[in-house]
Amino acid sequence: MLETFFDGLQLIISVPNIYYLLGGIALGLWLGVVPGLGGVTGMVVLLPFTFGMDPAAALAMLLGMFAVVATSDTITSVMLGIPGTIASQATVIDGHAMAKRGLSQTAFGAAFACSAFGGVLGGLAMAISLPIAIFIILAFGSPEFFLLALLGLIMVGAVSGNAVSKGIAAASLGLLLSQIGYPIAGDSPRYWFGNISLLDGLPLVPIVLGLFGIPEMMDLAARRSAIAHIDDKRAENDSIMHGIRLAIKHKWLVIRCSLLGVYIGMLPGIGSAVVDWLAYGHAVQSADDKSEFGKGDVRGVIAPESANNAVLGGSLIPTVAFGIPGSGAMAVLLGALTIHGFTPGRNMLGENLDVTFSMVWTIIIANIIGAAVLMLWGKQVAKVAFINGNYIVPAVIMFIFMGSWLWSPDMFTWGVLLGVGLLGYMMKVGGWPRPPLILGFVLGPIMEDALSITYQAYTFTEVISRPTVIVLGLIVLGVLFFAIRAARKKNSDFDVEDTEVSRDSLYLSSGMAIGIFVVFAVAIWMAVDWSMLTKVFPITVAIFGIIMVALVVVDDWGRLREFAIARKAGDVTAGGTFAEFVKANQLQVNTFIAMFVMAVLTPWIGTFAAIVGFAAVYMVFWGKFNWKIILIYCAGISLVLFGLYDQILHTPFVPAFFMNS
Amino acid sequence: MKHMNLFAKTARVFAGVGFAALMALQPLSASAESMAGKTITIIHNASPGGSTGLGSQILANYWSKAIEGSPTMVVQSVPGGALTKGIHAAMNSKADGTTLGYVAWSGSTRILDEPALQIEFQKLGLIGGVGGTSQMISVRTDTGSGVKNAEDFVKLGKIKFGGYTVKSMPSMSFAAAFDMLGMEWSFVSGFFGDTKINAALLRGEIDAGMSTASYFRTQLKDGVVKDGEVLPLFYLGHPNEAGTGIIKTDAYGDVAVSFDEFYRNATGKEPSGPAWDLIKFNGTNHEPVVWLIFAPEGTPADTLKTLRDGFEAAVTDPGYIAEATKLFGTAPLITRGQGIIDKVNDVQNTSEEMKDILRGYIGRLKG
Repeated sequence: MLETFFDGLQLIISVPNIYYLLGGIALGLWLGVVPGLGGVTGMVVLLPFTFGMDPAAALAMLLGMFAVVATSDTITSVMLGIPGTIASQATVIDGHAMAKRGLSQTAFGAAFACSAFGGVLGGLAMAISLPIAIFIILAFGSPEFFLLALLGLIMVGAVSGNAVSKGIAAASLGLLLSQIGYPIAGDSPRYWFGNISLLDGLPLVPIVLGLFGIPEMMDLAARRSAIAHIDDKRAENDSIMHGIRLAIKHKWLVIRCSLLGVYIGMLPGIGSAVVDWLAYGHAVQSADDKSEFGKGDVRGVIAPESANNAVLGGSLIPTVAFGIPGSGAMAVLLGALTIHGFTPGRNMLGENLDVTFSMVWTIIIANIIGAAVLMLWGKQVAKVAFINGNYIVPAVIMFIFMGSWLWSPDMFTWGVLLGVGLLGYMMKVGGWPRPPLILGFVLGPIMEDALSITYQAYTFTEVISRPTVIVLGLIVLGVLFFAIRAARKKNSDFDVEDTEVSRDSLYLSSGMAIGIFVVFAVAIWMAVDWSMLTKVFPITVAIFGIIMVALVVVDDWGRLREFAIARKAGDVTAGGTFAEFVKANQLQVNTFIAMFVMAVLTPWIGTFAAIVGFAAVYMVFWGKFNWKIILIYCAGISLVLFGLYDQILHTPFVPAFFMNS
Repeated sequence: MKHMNLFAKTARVFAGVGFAALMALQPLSASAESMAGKTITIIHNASPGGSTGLGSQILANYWSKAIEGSPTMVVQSVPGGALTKGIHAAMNSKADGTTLGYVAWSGSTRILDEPALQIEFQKLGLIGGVGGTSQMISVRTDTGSGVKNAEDFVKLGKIKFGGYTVKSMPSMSFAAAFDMLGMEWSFVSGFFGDTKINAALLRGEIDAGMSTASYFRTQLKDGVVKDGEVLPLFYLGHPNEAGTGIIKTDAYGDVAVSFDEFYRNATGKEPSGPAWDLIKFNGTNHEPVVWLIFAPEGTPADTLKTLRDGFEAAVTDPGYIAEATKLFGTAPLITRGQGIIDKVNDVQNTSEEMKDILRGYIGRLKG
């Protein structure tokens, strides 16, 4: 066994395999940085090129690329507040807050060190767990998946800070949005309003990019300054090494979250979209002092980054050993294995064990090299926080729009992106935490699928007599108990959103609550005649959501009354004025309108002209740059659109109307 | 200059936009005369990496070489909309032969959709079809008091089986098969793909699960079947010309028999009736053409002929057959020429009687 383990290493470091591995790492590092791309895109682009390659080289390139995406995606999360990939959503909360305080190098140092550790642990866990993995995978059936997802949902409390009712209401909205499209046990789509784009539900990538990316870019455009805009004395200590030291200081959190990543990764269907939230929630719940979370607490970076790199090693186990892919990327890898003549399953643990171990080594080597490269490069990247934001906004908006388009090439996708972007901005202004909405959206289908299969396949007695259900049920109850206790004692007294509370922000918040109330009520009204398995989940979620939005309104009106009392007492400035509110948000809204116009014009002037035109308009009116800079910038945008999206990714552009005849 | 005047600003915007428009023309222009130098996009309607995506990529590799002028062929995934988004993207693209569809069309069940979801496949520039995968069902050997052979299975009298959705043809067909065997059944839906069904079978969430021939050969045969955890029962497939049985395949070796043989052995009767009609409908209309290859409606006849000739050459290339066989686990069944037009017309003209049988099964599978 040990000999075969090192045969796997030999396979990877031999020429030319090592070159393919390094090439894959380079590509992966780049893919992680660009919002909307990521590992699956890389797999899809690379796969056809590997058809004629030696299998070991092909796997080294594919896995090497995929392994480091979860390391470099931290850069966008920290610098821009936009998740580079789905796996780094939770890093946004504290990572971006650290960048705003001028601590981006510290965030990078901690994140890259944890990513490397998590990735290596994931690889080693894969090697060690292979003989026992079958027992773990088979022990977790649909009832256990439901409880695990429920455990994730309880983390809503931890990612809501001091706005628990708003957080739960947002999570309910996320859960309800996830119910659009065909249900698992029905033959008719739900909430699709005759639009075929809604038959499979709303796409995740535009939702994530819209909710985080659009509001951040609106804010950055309005600030007319660099990303780092808060003077913080701690910034004097900002360095990659400082981040590494902090990661070492919190070593037990790193280990716990890495293990969480491995074992969640092992369970097909849960994966990276959830694990970073689970890890973040664990970091908050296990911390004695929670006051810095949301404001730039390094533990909020360490936890998700340790977990999301460890997921790969875990998710490879069911893929390679049992042919059960746990995620979209693993499904592509399964295809690659098949094309290259490998049969995922038992012979990967027998005659092809050296190939399986070569995958382990690929993960280990890629994670170490990836983190080392980024640590060396991190100091330069961190400087982005101090350059004029007007250079950043048009390019990032291009990546956000094209990244969404790539996943679902349809004008409807941009509609979703803008709609969710506006909702995200309103949530930010109204003090509604955004992470719970994503958490609900991601967990909704997992919970409903697990619930539906459990209902169809098990009796009640069978469910409650499963030992794993009993253990997980107790864990869920324990976590719920501590979450409720923390909420009652106001232990989590931190702001997830950087909101300035005013009378008008409270009016906006209440208005949103009433609007969402109507959405929940309509959702119930539409569902009442559906079959049992089709309606039970959306109706339950909507009823719960209605209760929560009612609490939000009561809470907001309570705070409005405080302002009213203060005003009566003579403080005429209490709660601010409408004019101040408009002034504080006008520039952001202008940026949104510019994006909206870009999207509306696209069917007429085409994708290319719309995006480059937006960049030109922005550079002139927002950036006030000179001719030379505008032309060079637009040329750069054009080059990326043509070279990357057209030539490499074969993205279907909307042609201008005169080219469509 | 602190404040830029409006004229200067407007001029700068136009410069940027003008530059953009010039650049925009570059990637989208193409010659209309010849396939040489053209880029043909094949749109498939599934997520990347599965048998639809990989199957279309393998075909594209051979098809591009088989068309005069060797155009570049790129494969693009447009998933979503219960497979309709990709179909719409391909059928609504410019009818000049530069965008084609390679789609999992689900024609035999799509005819049951509500009008808004119906697609008139017969109007498209049909090029060919790829299919030939058949489905088989396996049972856990520890079900009931133990299942060692076909007789034990039928004696169970009751079975809980799992599948994709209530509207999938294999789910309906196996339910019909259990009806014919006189067995009670319950259905667990929501396992999207062979791997998930297999995982549920191994976990004991279901007693029996279906799988494609390729999955059976690559995953089950030398694994759980060899270890005696799972017993293969019977397979469905293309019916013979007389409609009295299913054409035998060697995809499963000697471990499973065709359903008609299984049925005769178990009951001593010849298969017949509405349930058997449904099984034959599946074998005739679903399994032979899983993927439909087409050009948009209105594609010029010359271009269509070039594409069809190229397709013919590509799918008969031994290299394509070898690679596709590796992917599907069995040699692909290719339908081309008039055959694919007839097949699509047959499906679109399915009798109301058969539609009622299908609707009845969907209702029962929903539980």
